[in-house]
Amino acid sequence: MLHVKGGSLRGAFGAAGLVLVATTGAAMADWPERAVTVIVPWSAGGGTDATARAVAAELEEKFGQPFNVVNRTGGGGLVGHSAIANAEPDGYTLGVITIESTMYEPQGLSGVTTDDYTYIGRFNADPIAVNIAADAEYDDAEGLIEAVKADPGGIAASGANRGGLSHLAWIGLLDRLDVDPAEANWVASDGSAPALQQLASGAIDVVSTSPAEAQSLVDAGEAQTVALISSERSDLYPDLPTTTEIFDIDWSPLPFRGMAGPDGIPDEVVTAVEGALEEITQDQEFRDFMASRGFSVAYQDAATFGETVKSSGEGLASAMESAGLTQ
Amino acid sequence: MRIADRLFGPLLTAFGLAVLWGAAQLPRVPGVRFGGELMPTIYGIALIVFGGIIFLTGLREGGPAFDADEWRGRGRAGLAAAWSLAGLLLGMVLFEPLGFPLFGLLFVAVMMGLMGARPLTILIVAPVFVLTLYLTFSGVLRVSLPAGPLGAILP
Amino acid sequence: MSFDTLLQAAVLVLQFDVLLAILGGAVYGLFIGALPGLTATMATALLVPLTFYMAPLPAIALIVSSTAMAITAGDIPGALLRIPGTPASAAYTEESYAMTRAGHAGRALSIGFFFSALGGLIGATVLLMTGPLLARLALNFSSFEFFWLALLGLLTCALVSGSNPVKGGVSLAIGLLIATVGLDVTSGQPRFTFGSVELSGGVSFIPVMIGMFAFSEILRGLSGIGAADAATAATPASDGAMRPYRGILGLLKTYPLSLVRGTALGSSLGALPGVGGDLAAWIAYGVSRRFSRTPQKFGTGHPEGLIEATSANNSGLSSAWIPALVFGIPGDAVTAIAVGVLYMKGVAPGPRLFAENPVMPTSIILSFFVANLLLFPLGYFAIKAARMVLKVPRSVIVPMILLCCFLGSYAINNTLFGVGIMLVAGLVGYVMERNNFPIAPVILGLVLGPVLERNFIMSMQISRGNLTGFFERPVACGLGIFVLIVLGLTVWSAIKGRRRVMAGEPDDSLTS
Repeated sequence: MLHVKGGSLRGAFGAAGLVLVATTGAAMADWPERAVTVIVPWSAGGGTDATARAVAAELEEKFGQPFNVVNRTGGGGLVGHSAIANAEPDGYTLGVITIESTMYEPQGLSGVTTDDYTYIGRFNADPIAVNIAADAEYDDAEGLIEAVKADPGGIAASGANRGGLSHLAWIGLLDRLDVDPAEANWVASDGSAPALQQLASGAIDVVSTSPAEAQSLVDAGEAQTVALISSERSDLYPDLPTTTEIFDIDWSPLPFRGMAGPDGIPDEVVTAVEGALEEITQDQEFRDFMASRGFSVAYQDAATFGETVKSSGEGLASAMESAGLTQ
Repeated sequence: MRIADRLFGPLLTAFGLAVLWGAAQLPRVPGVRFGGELMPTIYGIALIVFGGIIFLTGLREGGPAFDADEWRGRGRAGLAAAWSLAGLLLGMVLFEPLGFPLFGLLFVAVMMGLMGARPLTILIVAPVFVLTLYLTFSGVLRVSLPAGPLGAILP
Repeated sequence: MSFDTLLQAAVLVLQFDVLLAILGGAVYGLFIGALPGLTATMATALLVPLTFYMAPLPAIALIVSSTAMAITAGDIPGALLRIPGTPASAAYTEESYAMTRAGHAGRALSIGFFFSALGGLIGATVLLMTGPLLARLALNFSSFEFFWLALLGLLTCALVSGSNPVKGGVSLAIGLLIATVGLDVTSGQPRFTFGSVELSGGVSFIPVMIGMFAFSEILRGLSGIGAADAATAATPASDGAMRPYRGILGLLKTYPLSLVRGTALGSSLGALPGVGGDLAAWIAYGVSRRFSRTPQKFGTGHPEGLIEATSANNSGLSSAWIPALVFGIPGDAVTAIAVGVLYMKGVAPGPRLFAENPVMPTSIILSFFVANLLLFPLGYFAIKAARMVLKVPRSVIVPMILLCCFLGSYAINNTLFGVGIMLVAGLVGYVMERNNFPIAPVILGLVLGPVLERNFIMSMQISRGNLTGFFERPVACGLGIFVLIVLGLTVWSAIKGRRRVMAGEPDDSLTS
């Protein structure tokens, strides 16, 4: 594409004509020729937004074109995820997707399935943790689970809307520990911040959310993180035991953040962004930034990321089914 | 557009009933006593009650049940009002293909004309304003607006 | 807080780069806030990439000052064009616009800037002294208490809906209903979305506000009633009346209590994460009217409620940072972004921040102080510039406002869907106002609807469906009794007013 800055008016209109021809020709060799939009399905200021903006800033540096982050929020991420899936597959609209993208279909929410994306690469994955109040009668995961078994409805847990990942992680854990998920008391909340407030005020007992989000409350002596709902320990929290170690169960719902585009974007774009993403995730400055927020860097290439998405989608779908959340 | 209270009240009551019906269709979650249907039900009942009160107090009111007198004989101002609605609706269709600068120019110029601005004013003010707005948003604020055919000459 | 800490923090804030960041943020915030339809959240989000390259304190100072300025500057389109900048400012937009229509635009804007700044300064001072304590208190609030507060907020509806409380109730119910559209948190299923993915994200209040206030006002202006208004309205402000801050000290002397009450309300409610900020201005406006000696003047361009609400608005701003800084619980998008930036800069929010490094939070509050001081001179220029807006002929400014309405509704979520919402809201707002239904309660319902519902449902889930749960916690019990008394009084006075109307005494809502 020709870039005309200034120049005569006639020249400019001539260029406009050329551009129309050029874009229909779709010569992708020079991608990106103009600004790329990066859709984030979660609100500005959240973890996904922060990481997306960091990645976008690095991509912008690498490709020399603006990567504009656009927050399309609402509907538990559904609006933004479906905006990514339904965008023009010309490589100029990409997005950051999260594990919620796999959960709409089994819940009977129309708009997005895992087949609607071209997967580009994962850059982050962090397990969910079990957090309890500092002044609880128990101070480890075993004690908590005993209390749940004694009175499943008496332990109120929160962290997201009903059917949100935080909810599934919790009831999936209970299910594997022979507690009927239908009897568990889930307090539907609008994200982890209000749930943590509830925990600190003593109104509820458990919040399942990432350890990073609970960190400040833990530091304040208002809450404690007792276990990761995962089969592997985290590099960032090496002292935190996993539920696999404690209970010998296999349940590891791993929320991810990765780049994707609508189904059918040009291969050149996928290869270019995939390569750039790999470099970014090795960049020390980026790694420091992620660590400072309590996010781990977990790169996967396009093919592996696609498989991860599909397999975690299947695992979550079966968890939803056992909890009676499927439609 | 004035609707007499004796007509508006029943309209609100009907709306409230529709809300009640809609709330009853919402899925229930087993084990949850109060779910997503509770609040719409309360609001629906409130609308039904308020609609009734407005109907009753409106019975004493005279005048026509419906009028749109404020638009009678408005001439160009009426056309301008129609364009403010139609033009922006059109904008929702033409925003992508035409781009913001061209659509903005079209809308503002026609609106100014209908409201009685002088041609010279329109010729100067409309392009300068639209271009400033476009450059501010896409340049400084980095809100990407479709550039349309002018994309080639605008940064 | 020791004097030593304060001194160290002051030295940090008075560095050249920090002051530059505050000034830059302020000018930028003023610009964004003054554009109709652009919000403080957007201003902050757009700054994030810039903060990557900055030292921690300038980065935060930049965000602090741009937010404070953007929110205050949001009152400019509110007063001049009837386009509220934030849901909080919707509480008093009618009042300041009425002032503009009476020919006192300069006065409305002066009140906005002067008392915002004053409220902000007092709020920051209160925070310096009580920050961590206030945070600890706020942390005791659970969904039970939040529910009562939201209900209290809804009761101010009766005070902002003018002479006909029943019609105000209808407006409120409509706002509350709009708030129920979208994905229902309790079931995880869509509610009233009619199969639309866009609607499953809910109806955001920015396009609704723009439509109901601004677009409907433009339609009104083009119709016969608008033309009649224009003929009888006072002539546009003379240059003298437009002089910034003229007569403002007189207002301060006349209504000192409004300033004190507004600031106290703002500082305390603002510290409640997620609820306080938006609520404070509404409650302040309602309280002001309730206790005013001249409540009948409210809504006609009377300064009293404006002073109280606008000072509550800005004093609540700084308090909102407290739960974010002390416990990492951000109350709104702006503080959420700021918390992110803090983390990125290696400053982890939390009580340890106050214990181990008290200079940092103190510097942040001091940045607030400086930013609010800047409001006085920047407000002066903004008011001067606003005079030009009023001099532009209607045939030129109205098309411009309409395009801004279009763009503002689009930019909130980068979708034309927002424009559609704005147009529908505009038509609905026009019909409502033509038939004497007030608009402000719609916005109140829209803002508080989710807070009310979520906290009620959460509480019921926690107490397993037992309504007595709302009176079991001591604070909740106290609040509950208070709210029920206010509710009783409100209903009683509404019925009494209605009886009077039934008995045939004059009521302008029925005769106009």
